[in-house]
Amino acid sequence: MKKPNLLYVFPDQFRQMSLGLWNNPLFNNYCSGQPDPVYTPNLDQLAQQAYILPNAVSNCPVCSPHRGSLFTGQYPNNSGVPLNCNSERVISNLEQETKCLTDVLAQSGYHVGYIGKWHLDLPTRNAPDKPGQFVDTRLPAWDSYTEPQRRHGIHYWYGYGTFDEHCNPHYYDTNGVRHEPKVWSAEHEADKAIEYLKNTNGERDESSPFALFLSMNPPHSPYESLEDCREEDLALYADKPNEFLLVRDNVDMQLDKADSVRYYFANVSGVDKEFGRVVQTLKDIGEWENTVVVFTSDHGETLCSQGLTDAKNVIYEEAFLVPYLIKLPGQQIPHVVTKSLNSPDIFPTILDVLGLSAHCPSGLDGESRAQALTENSPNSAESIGSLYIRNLDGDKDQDGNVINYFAQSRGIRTERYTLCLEVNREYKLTEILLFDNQADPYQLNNIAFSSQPKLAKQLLSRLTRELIRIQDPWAKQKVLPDLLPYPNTEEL
Amino acid sequence: MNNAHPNVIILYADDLGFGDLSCYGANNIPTPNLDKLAKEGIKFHQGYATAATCTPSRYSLLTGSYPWRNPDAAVLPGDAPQIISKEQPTLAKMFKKQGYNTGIVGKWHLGLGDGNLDFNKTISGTPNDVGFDQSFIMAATNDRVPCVYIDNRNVENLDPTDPIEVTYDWDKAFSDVPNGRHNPELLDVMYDHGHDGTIINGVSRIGHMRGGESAIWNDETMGERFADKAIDFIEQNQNTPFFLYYAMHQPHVPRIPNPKFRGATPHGVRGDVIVEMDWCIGKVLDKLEQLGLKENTIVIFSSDNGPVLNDGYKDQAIKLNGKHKMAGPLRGGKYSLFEGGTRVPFIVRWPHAICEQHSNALINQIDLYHSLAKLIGYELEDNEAPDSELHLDALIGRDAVGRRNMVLEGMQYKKVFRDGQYAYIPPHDNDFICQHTGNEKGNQSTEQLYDLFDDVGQLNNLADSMPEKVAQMQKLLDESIEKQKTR
Repeated sequence: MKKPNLLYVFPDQFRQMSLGLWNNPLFNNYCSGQPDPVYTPNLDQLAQQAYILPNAVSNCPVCSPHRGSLFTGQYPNNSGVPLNCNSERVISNLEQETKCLTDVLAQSGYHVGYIGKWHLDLPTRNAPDKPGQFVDTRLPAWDSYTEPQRRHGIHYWYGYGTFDEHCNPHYYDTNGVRHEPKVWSAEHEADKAIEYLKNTNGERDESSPFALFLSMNPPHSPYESLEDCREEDLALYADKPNEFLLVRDNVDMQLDKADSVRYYFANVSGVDKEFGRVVQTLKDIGEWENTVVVFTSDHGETLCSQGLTDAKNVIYEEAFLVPYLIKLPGQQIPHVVTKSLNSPDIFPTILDVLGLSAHCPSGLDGESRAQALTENSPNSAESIGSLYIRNLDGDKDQDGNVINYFAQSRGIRTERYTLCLEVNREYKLTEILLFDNQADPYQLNNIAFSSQPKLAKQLLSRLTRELIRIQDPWAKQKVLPDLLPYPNTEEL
Repeated sequence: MNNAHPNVIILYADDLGFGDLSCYGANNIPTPNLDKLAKEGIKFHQGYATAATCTPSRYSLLTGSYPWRNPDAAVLPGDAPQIISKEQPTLAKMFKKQGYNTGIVGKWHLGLGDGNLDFNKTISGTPNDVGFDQSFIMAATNDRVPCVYIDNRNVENLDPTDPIEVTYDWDKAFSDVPNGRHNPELLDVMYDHGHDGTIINGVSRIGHMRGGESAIWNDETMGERFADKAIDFIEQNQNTPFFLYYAMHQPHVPRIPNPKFRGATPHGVRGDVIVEMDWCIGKVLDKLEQLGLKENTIVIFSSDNGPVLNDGYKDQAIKLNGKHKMAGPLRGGKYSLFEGGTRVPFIVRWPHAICEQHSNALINQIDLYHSLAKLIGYELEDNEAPDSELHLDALIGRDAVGRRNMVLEGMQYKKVFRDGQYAYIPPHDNDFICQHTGNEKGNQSTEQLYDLFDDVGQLNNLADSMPEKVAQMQKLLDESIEKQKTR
C-alpha cells in the first residue's frame, strides 16, 4: 500500500480564534469566546473533512520553543530550545545530534521538504554569501543560515532563520544560495511549495512519499501598514471599524495596537488564500486523498486582549491556544476532538497517523493523540491538562552570553480551567491566575484560591505531576514548595 | 461518536394546519412532544411548504426545485411512475455524498417504478434509486391503493401465490372485489367524493386492488409501524451521521387512529390522529435522547400543506371541529392559494447550536436543501436545487429575515407570489371554492393583493388601490417563472 504523504503548514502567530470556521454552527460551541470576524474559506473547507482540535495549545507560546517541541517531541527544558534563539542565547539551540521528526521521516523513506521560517539554530557566523559574518546584520543576531548538516534529514530546503519583513523576505535554498523575491513571503512560499509538489524542477524523488513542512511567517508582527500585507487581503477589512473587528470582551480598544487589527486579519486571510493554492495543487496532482494535511501555528496572538501589547508568551487563551486541523487520508467528514494536544505530542501523533509509530523514538515527553482522533469516543478520560511554560534569560557570562534560563512562570490548562503561577528571580510568588474558561472564556475573573480551595488543590496537584514527569526545573528545584505538592514535602 | 456532522431528521406531517398543534394555538389537541420540541428549538411563524398539495411539496423538499418546473409534480395516483428521475440531484443524494447514511420511513407519494410498475416484482424506481439507502414506505397515500408497505424495493409480506393487481380505471375495476360504490353496506365510514374504490379494512379507497391479502396494512397500527421503523433506522445508524426523512401519514384521510387514541380530543378522529402523530414523534425523539444523539441531531418538523376537514370521508370531522381553527388565523387550507394552504408549523431543534426562540423569518421547505448542504460543507452544482436559497442562518435563528420573496403553489400550478409583507394572487380561471372539500382554493378572475402585516386573514383585497405594487409583484413572479433557477 502506498504510504500517505504529509503536508504540515504552520504560519507564525496565527491565533485559534482567527478561523472563519468557528462561525459555522457546527463548530461555534467549541470556540473559546467570540471568534474573529475573519474570512478564511480555504481553512473552513479543510475543516469540513478534518479533525478539529479546539484544545490544542502551544505550551511555551513563543516561536523557537514551540518549534523545538514540534521537532523533538520534548518540552523546552529537554528539547535544547528553552528560549527564542539568537546569537547571545547560547543555551538555546537545536542540537545536530537530536533525533527530530524530520530525521525519522527521512529514515522511514520519506522525501522531506522544508520551506519558510526555521528559527531553531543558534546563529553563527556562517552566512554563505558573506564569509565570516552572521546572516543578520544586527547584534545580537537573530536570523541564521542552517547548514546542510544541521537540517535533520530534510532533503529539500528553502528556508531562513527568522526575519520579519513580509514583503521583502529572503531564503537560502538547498545549496545555500540566497534568494530575495520581493514578494509577500507567504505567497512566495506557496509558489515554492507548489513547485515542490508538482516537482517542477526535480525538487523531490517521486518514488517516495513526501513530507513537506511549510512555515509561513505572516501573520507574525509587524502588521501595521500595507508594507506588511497585500492590498487585496486588506480590502476585506480596511473599511470596517475597530469595534467590528475586535469582538472579544477582554479587548482594550484604547491600545495603539487596536488599529493594527485589520492588518493582522489581512495576513490571516492572505495565509488562507495561499494555503488554498497549495491544497488545490495537492488535488491537481492527485495526492489530496492520500495526504495527511495539518494546519496549525506555533503560538497565538493576544491582539489587544487583556490590555497586552505583547502578542505571546502568556497563558491567556488568545496566545496559548493554536489552530489545529488535521485531515487523515481519505477523510470526508469533520470531527471535533476536545482532548488536549501539546506541542510535544505532535511528533508521535504525526508518526502514528502516518503508520510509522514503530519508528517513534522512545523517551519522548509527548504522547500520541492519534487514538483520540480515530476512536469514536469523546467520553474517554480527560487528559491531565496542558503545561504552560514561560522562560526568560537567566545569567550571562562576561561576553554577554546567556548561560541559563529563568523559569519565570508555570501553569496548567485543563479542558475547563486555567491556572498560572509566576515567581520573581528569588522564586517568590508574584502572581496567581485561576480562571474557569467555561463560565468566563475571556478570563476576566481571577478566582481566589480561598473561594475554591478544592479546585485549586486539584489543579496544583496536576501541575506538580506534569512538572515532575517532564523533569522541569521547577520540580528539580522544588519551586513554591508551599503551594506545589512535590513528593517528600509534608503535603504528601 | 465525535464526528461534527449533525444527524438530520425531517419529520413531515400530512395535511397538518398552521393552527393544529397546541404550541401553535390548538386548545384541545394536546401535542406535548411537539410542544417540547418547539420549546427546545425555534418555532417559526412564517414557515412554508412550497405548495398547497402533497406531491408538489414533497417534490420541492427533496429536489430544491419549484414543483411547477416539473409537469408531473401533481397529486399522483398510487401506480404513477416515479417523478424524480434517477439522475436528478436530491437532498438524500446530497447527504450521501457527504458520507451520511440516508433513510425514509412513511409516505412517499412521488411515484414508483419506471413505467411498467408491477408490485409483485422487485421495483426499480423507489426512494432507494434517488438517494435513500433504506426505505420503508407506503406506495402513495393512505387513501389510495395498493394498501401495502414497500420495504426497500419489495412489497412487505407478499405471498407470491396471491399477486397484487392495481388499477385506477373504473372500467377495469375488479368485479369480484367489493368497492364502496357498490357495497356501501360493508363500510365502517362512508366515503365522500371519489373515495369509492376497493374496500380495505372497512374503508373504500381511491383506485382498485385485488390480491396481496397477506401484505395489506393495518391502518390502526400504521403510526406505530412507521415510528418503529424510524427507530430501527436511528439505532442502526447511530454511529455514523444519518439523514432520516420520516414522513407520517397523519392527519391525512382516512383518519383511523389506534383505538387507544380514539376520543383523545373533542374533535373526532381528525384531532385524535394528530395526538397519535405526536405520540409517534415522542417515541422517536425519546429514542434519540436515549442513544445520546439529541445534542447533535437537527430535528425539523413541518407539514406538506394546509389542513382540510372533509377530504373524502364522512368522518364527522366537520361536525366535531367546533371552534378549532385548523389554520389558526389564516384563510384557506389544503388546495388554497391563501396563506392557509402553504403556511404550516415549522420547528427546528438542534441543541448543539440553538436555544429556545421564536422566529418571524420567512422560510420555505425548499430552502432546506441548500441550507443543510452549506452546513455540512457541500457545494451545490450549477444545476442542482435551482430554487433552494441559502437560509442556514435563518434556520438556526441567527437571521430574523430569511427569504425576500417566493413563489407558492395552490393547485395545479396556480401560483401566489409572496414577499416580506404582501401576498399577491394573480387572476386564475378556476373555482373559488373546492366543490368537494369546501376549502377555498382562492381563484378569482382579477388580481388579489393582501397586506399580511395588517391583514393576515386576507380579507381586504388591496389590488385596486395599489396597482403599482400589483404590477411589481406580477413582474417579479414572471421573472421567477422565466428563470431556469431563482437561487
